[in-house]
Amino acid sequence: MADKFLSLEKVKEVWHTQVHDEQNWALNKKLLRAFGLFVGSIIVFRNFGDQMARIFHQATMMPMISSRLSPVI
Amino acid sequence: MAAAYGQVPTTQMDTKAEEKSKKIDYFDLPCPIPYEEIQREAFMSLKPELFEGLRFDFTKGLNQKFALSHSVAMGPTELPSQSSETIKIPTAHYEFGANFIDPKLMLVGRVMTDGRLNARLKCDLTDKLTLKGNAQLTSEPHMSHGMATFDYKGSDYRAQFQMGNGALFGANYIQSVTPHLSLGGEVFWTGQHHKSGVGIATRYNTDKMVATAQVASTGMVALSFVQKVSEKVSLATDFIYNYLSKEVTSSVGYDYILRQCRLRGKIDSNGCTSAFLEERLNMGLNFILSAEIDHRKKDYKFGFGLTVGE
Repeated sequence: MADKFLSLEKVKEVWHTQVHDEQNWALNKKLLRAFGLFVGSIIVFRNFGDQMARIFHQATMMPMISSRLSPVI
Repeated sequence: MAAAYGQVPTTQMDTKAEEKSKKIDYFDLPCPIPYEEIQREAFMSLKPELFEGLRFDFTKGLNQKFALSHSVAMGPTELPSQSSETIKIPTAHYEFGANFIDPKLMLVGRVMTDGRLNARLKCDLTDKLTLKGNAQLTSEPHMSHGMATFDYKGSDYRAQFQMGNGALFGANYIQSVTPHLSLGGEVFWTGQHHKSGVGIATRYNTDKMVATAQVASTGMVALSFVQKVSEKVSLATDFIYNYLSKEVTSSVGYDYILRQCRLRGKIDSNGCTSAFLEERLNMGLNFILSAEIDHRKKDYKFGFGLTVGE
């Protein structure tokens, strides 16, 4: 039987080297966390960006830095 | 009555006009952003000039083109260390500067108390060709650097050629492919260190968002995305991975411009949060606050300062 490009053994081998190996898994975990943060942020920005800006605007319209600092100096 | 006499109804004419406007004229594409500024929106939002300690900047314009500046900075400076601990030494320095700004020529010079000199030049040789130069000169041997850059701006492309001391040569090119998409590439070679590298970059921008991707043979992969929610609010995120040094960082941040202040903040995947506030107290008087907290390294940096003048 001819060797396939993608066989179950090769998938298992990749899984063992990337997940079960401590050093590789430490890097892969950091990579997944960072990439997940990046992609998740894009999804949140595109879907809820307007609402986030509105909430932030309302929060900063309360008495904050700009009204507190100016009379002091 | 007009329709009965064979005239095309108004709605069909509007549709045809819309179709014509939607067809892209590939010979009339806009000029792209310079290659080195491909991530400028993300850079402006996610990388403010954070500092620690005190900072005071005073700029006095002598006339419309010439200005002098005085800067004082007092605070700890981080030293590179091989261990995970952060080593800081207290420093204080004064910097004197002179700026000459003309529509076609810009000269900026800064000299510090330790004898270091920074100089920058930007000259529009023609409408399309610009010469830029920068130099850092010090009294320490082999620590001075200089670089000259020629920028050519075409109708829908930009080309740049750089040369610096230490036999450093570089070139980049960026081309608009569609009204929203531009692709570019760069190559550099350092004779002194016998190193070379290539890189490619792409940028897609609309009125509401900017997305960029950059890959280089130095091992860097950089992705960024900026959502322009409004004229005053931008939300940005970036992902930087070096597959040679195995370092990865992702940041999420915001840039909020209020009437009297500008607030930028971010958090990244390494547990570091930062914020930068610029408050306009009066005409020409700005108060700045900077904060950076690295929870992982337990390194806390806070700074405050004033800038007077433009």
